[in-house]
Amino acid sequence: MLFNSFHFILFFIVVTTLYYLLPFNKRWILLLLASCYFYMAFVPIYILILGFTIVVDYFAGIAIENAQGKRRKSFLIISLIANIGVLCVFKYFNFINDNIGFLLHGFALKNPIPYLHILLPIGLSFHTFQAMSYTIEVYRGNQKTERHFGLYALFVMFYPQLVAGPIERPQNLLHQFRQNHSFNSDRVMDGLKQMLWGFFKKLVVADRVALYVNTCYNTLEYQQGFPLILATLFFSIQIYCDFSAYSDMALGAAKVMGFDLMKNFNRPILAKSTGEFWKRWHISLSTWFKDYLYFPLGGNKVHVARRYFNLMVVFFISGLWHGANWTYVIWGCINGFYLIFALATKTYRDKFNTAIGITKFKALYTVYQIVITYVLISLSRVFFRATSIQDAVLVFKKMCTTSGSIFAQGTSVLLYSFFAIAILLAVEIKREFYPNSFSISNHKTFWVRASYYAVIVIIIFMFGVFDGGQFIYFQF
Amino acid sequence: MYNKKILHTNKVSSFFIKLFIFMAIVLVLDKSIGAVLKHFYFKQNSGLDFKTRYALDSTHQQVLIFGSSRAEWVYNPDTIETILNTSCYNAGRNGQPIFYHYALLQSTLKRYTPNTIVLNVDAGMLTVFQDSYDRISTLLPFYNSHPEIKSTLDLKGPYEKIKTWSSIYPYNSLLLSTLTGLKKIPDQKNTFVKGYKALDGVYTDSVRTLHVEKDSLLDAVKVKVYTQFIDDCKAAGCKLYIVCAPYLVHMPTTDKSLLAAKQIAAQKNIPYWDYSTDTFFKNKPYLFADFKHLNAKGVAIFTKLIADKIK
Repeated sequence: MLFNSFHFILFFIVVTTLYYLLPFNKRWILLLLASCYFYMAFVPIYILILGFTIVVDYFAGIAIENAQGKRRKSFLIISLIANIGVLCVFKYFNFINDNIGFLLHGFALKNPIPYLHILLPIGLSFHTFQAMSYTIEVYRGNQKTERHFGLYALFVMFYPQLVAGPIERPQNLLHQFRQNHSFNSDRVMDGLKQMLWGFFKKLVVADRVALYVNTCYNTLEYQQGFPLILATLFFSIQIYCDFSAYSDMALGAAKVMGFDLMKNFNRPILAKSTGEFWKRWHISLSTWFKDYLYFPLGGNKVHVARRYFNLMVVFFISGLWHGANWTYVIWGCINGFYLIFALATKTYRDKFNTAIGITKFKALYTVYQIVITYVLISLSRVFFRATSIQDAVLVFKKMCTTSGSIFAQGTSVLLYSFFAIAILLAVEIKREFYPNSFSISNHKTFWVRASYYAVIVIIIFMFGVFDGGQFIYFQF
Repeated sequence: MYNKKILHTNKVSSFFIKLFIFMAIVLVLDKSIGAVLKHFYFKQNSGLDFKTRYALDSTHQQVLIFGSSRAEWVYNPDTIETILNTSCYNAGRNGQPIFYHYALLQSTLKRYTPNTIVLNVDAGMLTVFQDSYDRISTLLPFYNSHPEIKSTLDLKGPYEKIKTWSSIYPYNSLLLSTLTGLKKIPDQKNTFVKGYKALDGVYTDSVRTLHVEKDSLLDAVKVKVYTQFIDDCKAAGCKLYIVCAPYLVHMPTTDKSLLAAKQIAAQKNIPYWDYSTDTFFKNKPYLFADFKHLNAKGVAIFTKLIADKIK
């Protein structure tokens, strides 16, 4: 079920109403059933995969808590192998098989392993990582084992964040299922506002901009430099609005029922460096990698060369997490390189910026940093968006041949896109740089607030793309 | 405890009152802005939306052409009128699927029975392609005023009926085209003449093979609507001709849509004229504006050919 569908709106109204009508001790059953229905609306049979990881990790958690010494580690390893195994079969099997086939082909041998004709279960990487965080935290002693099977299943399956995060930690979410959330009008209102902003970002910005981006990237051979440069810059806006819209809707839907999910985005398009970008983008995944991969590898407390190596490992795996394609791996590695380059050259860059005098003009310097970061991130995303390395290389080649006019595809798509982006930037800049100044969205007068949100609804009706389809991150 | 409960009840009531007021504001804005959009949409006197409205409500010609861009830019009604000595209108619209053509037919047959109908078919037109359903939204402004096409518009999705409670929704993303359509365009090149718009220019790229998706499956709903199109024409007593206009490129003979269209036409005893691989047009770039569409020169030859054949 897509958040941006009428089906979901009906589902949300029914589930939320029932949630508050039911007594506290029955609510988990409703939420679990609702989550099953939500997930099964995609491909019903894949609930079995989810069921498998839930059962394995539930018993692994109990076994880890009951065991002593090395046996604890053994149970953790069993749990991790089961989770990563599921990922390998459903997400990476064909990718690995392709690469084996490619290598064998080099030796004039035929690959005997058949191709698996399966669809990737929606959001597999998200709920697998969330499930893994549970057993790791139990192993580390940071989380008590959840012995209520239903509540544990709900932790993995909680419908707002089931298919595209935020990837929750058990310490943040599990205990909330044991709390009685009575109807709190302020929280409900805040949740609804957040959901509305999510709808705006998805329908008005992401899916509108996607019309231009998809057309350009799907017809690469016909495009010249300017359209591809514009489409690449647009894609960063598209993916940000698409993914953060999902998070907004997830956080909003959870908040309406009294749950607090972790913040997943912090206006990354206004980041002033690539390092800052990764602290603002997909925070739940970045912190997952930090906690469970980067720190165990040594983190910052190692020799500088080892630290760079650790960073590269994290970004390599982050790329692979996104998709079973070398394009994602390259994208991850480019971003790893950005970070390493930034760390290695910080002193020289600071000196250079001071020497040219740009640091004296604070506002200009901020804009300069934001633009540079945005362009760098956008360029790396060529690999994220292109379907193959060859296509990505073609995009870069074509970007360098800036002949021809901007592909318009009917001027309306471009005009609506610029209109939507202008609203988005105005709101983001206001929230980032002037958080305490005049606010319409939080104005003390109810009529002003109500009118503001009513106008957002009307803009969605007028300019939203209602046939835009699913969220980009569902495929991961 | 009692006071706390009253306070909570008051807060809950206040929440629902505020929610009600908010929804009332949305409703007022929706109805008023929707009314303005509707007013201007139906005041257009040029452009594609105007053409759709004309095709739905005002056609009276004896020969009607239906189809996508390969109808809209490829059949010149003037030529047909001259040869057949009757009136003709090109109701084709770029990018529109079979659902659109069928809705126009339903609306037309409700008003009158044209003598002849030409339906142009394209490669891929009956295969699975989600965009085809999304494009039905072109006809949403007519959802409530044309009950005969409701069932076709409902193919877009199960909730269209509810969505059209909004007065703005049917005009979603149409603001700019409406504003453009309010002005008469002075440049004759960009205007429609009896629904037809000529494509100038000559194809200069290399001649390729038309890309046909290997795994694309026939869409049962589209096939059904196509069959219904034929049945409705036959029931109304119109002479129906199904034509596949020429392609410049090498046409694969395995296109599932064209095979199905041909087979159904044969079953229903409807003439099916296949020019997709016609040797007169094939590999002659000077007759094409691009690999799928004839230019004005090609149109003159092709339309005459069709009109002579109908005659």
